Amino acid sequence: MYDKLIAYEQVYDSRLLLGTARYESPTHLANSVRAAAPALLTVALRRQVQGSSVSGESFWSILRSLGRPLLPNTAGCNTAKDAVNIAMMAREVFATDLIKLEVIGDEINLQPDPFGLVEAAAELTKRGFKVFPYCTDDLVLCRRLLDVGCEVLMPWAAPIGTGQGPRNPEHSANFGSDCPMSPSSSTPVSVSRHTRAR
Amino acid sequence: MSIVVNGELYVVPSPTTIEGLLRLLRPERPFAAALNGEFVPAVEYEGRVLTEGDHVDVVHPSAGG
Repeated sequence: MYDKLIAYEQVYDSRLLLGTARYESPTHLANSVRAAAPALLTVALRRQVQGSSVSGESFWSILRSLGRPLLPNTAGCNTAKDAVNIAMMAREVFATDLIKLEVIGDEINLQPDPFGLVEAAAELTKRGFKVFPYCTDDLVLCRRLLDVGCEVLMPWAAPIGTGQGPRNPEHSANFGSDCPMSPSSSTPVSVSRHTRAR
Repeated sequence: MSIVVNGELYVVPSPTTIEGLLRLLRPERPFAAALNGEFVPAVEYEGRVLTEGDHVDVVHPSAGG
């Protein structure tokens, strides 16, 4: 019924990427993930909060019980250096080379920093990461990200948390042809709110 | 010796390695650590000696989008 998602040579039956934040309870989270069966489940790293059900051992137990592939992010990073550092920590904790790269340039609307993003993506690619860059839909930025080795782009459809849905659907629909070096250019454009893959 | 762990000041015996600090703190698993903003692989904990004023960050899996 739906195309498969292919990212970094990995084929996923689902084209859905699902976050793990802001559920009413751990039970809601677990039930939602089981119902959605997403290709990837995004997670973060944080300093420990005692007694928290959304971090630490209890959260880890939930993740393990769900058995979905994980996509760690670099949330909270404002520089390329910080993002690379968090990515290294994530690889050790989650035992995956996948990383959703976030380098935030504006604290109000959480717009990605395009310059830090390219810098971090280049470094992470050299270190063997498979980078999923959370970026704006600027064509030149996206080409630069592909140039430094990204095989997936995650251009925002709308600022995080606004719930607005795609603000420029025509631009999004044309993205494959506008970005000819993109692996996605020859196949239908995807997917979830922020993700584009082939 | 004073060490800052996740932004909080701790007084620990000197000399202490990251391994020694983590034995004292007993963080929930899994975790990863950084020393003064630089990731330290787990295999290096035992050999990394802390000095006065070092900043150690210990992070865990957490909900995120």
